[in-house]
Amino acid sequence: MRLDSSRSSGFSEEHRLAWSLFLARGCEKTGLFPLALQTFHRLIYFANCLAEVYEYAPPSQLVMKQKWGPYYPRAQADLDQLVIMGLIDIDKLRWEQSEGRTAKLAEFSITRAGYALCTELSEAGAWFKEAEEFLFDVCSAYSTIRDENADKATDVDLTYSQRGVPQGGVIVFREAARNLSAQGAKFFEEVAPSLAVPNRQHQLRLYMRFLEGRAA
Amino acid sequence: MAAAGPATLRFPIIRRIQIKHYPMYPGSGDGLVHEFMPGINAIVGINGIGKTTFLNLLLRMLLGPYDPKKADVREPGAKLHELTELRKFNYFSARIGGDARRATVALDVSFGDTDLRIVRDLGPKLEIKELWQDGAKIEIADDEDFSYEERYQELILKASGIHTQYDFDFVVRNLLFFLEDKVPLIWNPKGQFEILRILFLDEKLSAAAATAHDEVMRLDSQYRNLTYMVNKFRGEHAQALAAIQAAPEELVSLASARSLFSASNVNFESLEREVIALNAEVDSARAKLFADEQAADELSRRLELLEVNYLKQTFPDLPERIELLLGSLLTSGECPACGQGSPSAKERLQGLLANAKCPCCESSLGKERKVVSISKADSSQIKQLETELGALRDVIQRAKGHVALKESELSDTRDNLYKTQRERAERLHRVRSLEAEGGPTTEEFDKLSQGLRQQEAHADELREQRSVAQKRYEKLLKKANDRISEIADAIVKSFRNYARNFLIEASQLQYELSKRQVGEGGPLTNFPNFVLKMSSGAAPSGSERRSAEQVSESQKEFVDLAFRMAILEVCSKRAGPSMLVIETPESSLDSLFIERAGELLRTFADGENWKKSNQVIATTNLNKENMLGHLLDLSKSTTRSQKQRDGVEARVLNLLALAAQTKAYKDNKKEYDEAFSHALGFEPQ
Repeated sequence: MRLDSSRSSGFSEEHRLAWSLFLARGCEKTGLFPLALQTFHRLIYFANCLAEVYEYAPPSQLVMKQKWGPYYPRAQADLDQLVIMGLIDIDKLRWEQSEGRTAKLAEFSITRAGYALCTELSEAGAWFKEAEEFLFDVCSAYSTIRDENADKATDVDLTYSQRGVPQGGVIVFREAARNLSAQGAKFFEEVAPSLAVPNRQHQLRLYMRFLEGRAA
Repeated sequence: MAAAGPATLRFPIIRRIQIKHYPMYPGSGDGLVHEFMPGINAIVGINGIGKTTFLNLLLRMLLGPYDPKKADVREPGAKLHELTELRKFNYFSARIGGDARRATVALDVSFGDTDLRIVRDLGPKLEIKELWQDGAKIEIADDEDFSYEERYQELILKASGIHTQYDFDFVVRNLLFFLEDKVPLIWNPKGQFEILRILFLDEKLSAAAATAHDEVMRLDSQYRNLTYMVNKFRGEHAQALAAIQAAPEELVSLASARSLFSASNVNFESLEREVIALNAEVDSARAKLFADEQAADELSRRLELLEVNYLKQTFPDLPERIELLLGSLLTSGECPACGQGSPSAKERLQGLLANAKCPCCESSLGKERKVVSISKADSSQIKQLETELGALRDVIQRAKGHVALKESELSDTRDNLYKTQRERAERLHRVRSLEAEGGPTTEEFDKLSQGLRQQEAHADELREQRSVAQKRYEKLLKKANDRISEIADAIVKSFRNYARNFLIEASQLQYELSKRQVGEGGPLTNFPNFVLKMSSGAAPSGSERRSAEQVSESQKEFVDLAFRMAILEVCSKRAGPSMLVIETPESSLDSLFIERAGELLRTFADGENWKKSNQVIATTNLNKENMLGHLLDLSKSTTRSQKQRDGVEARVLNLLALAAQTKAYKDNKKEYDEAFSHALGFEPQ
């Protein structure tokens, strides 16, 4: 699963579903449950841009700048499918219409079957194992942000908040130079004292702490 | 005989010396003071007491801190006519093992009617502290841009009539001073010509000859240096040519390899630009597709909301998972269970609901369940949304096709780029390997050839310039020969007179034009030259002695002294008296020749008249050979009047009494003092 930007759109359906399921388990393990729909898409976004820190190829390397935060239609369809498959529980399904947007909101949590499948998958091959670990690290880092600041986390993110991109504009961060979030996380490695160089997990945590500082 | 040489010519005659604060010569009272006499002057001492240093004092008082530039001490006169100032002349400091700047020497010297007094310190610059002319001290104001040294040089040139400082230096150093390290003039043709040029050519011709000589020497030196470089270049060129001729295939291979690498490089750079452009196109296409998907998702949710609202009126307690499934199927026909779907699934579900049947098990719904049909208004909105969504899905399909096309192009181009990159690296490696195998390239060879041609052309130009300068010098030499031949007989005659009485073998000078090169690469040129012919047991009629090794040590001294005396005598007819400063003449003579040497020098420096008598200043050791007695002609009489004794003593500078005492003198003072008195022919006082 080495980074190959040309392959980012080449995820198979199974890999996409596993990616979302691992993310749900990551939330479960780090206390981020029940998982609100906005949080799910926010975590999908952070996983997409911070995969560069692990030199992994994510399912998507773009995001649309919107008032209500990142939203990935394909990830949403995957999540719906996982619900139908009984791997994810859905609760409090409701509809909201405001400001020209129709939102299907709900809370999700991984089922026992979904949890067991994750364990099975993570032992099925290197890709699944690495993806599971990475997505857990993303959830773990994100979980350090206090609830009151979590909604603003993407608003202050270096890639998402970059200048010159209007609402509704699409940001492509396929090239490392345009992925400011990953650059920000890696920067902590450069400035740290030689005896305390942060590893990848710490870089994600330090970056989330940095975002919280900006959001507060 | 026509007059030749400078209009005015005066040799220096030393009158007086006063040395102060120099530990080697404490003297008595106010340092060492000595008045010299016309005729013979003897400086008496023993080994190590400072005779040689004293003569060097006399020499340096006259010449200052200058030496001929790049001179060859074995062949004076062979180099350029230039002097160089010695930055640190430490000779006198070294003799006392300390600083000699406090020491001063005042030398009174006359050039004909002009009297000069030079006072120098003995520090590293031999700085002139005072300068006097005809009893008047010369003052130089602080704001004058003129040094005492420059003023002194001006004065001696004017007083001596010699034209340049170099010429004055040469005459003093190589004709008037006859020191132990001298090079005999008679066997040094270049030095001999220099003396003849300075003393017997007029100013214009003398200066022109010196300048022309230096010009030939400079061009010759430049030409030789350049020729060395050209020969080196030729060697490299020949090697390169041989390498090229021996390995033409390798050269072709290298040129070909470079050409192939260049083509790869161009191709690589072009592909690199193409990949960058395609990357941007792919990003743009993906961004558009992503935006279209967002818009389609929004339309789907609106449509789903309408459908779900009616479904929930019929099934108010529908589980959320089933609601999600049916909502998706009714909206788009897509199945969230398998991820696929079909329009017929949507139509089938809509048909079942319209006929009051369960969309899951297709059972008829009982009357107790209220089945709500879609209103006309909502039906119309649903149709409109479905139309929009359908159109948008067509757009998305095309956008996906476009993205796929661009991604494919990008992928192919990137593959080409990697392939070209590998090819370029391999070709570069091949070029480096061929270059490392050695052998010049044709470009390098052409460059080498061009450089060689330029150097050869420059060498030809220099050779031509040297040839022109040589011809100019030869013309001047011809004039010089004419002038010198006018006085040659006089020199030959004078030499014969001096030599007749003092050499056992018959000897004479022969004037001739002898050929030699100027520099190292020019043609042979005629120079005026005096050659010694001397009889011997093997050749009673006389044979040429062209080198000092062809005569005995004693003869060598005599011959060179006689030659110098002859030159000075010929000059004396217009220059007046001259001076010879001689270092221990007895050093290489046996007993018989010591007496003759004394006689020779007395003959040269006969009389007591400053205006007419030549002056000889000779150092001598107190020893059994008694050179002192022979110099002063004291050996034949033993009793003298006080006046005679005073006359003798006036001609002697006794370093035993005036110089710092050596250990040998301290240990044997009585014996040395007695020896001194015996040499003078009277009892010690």
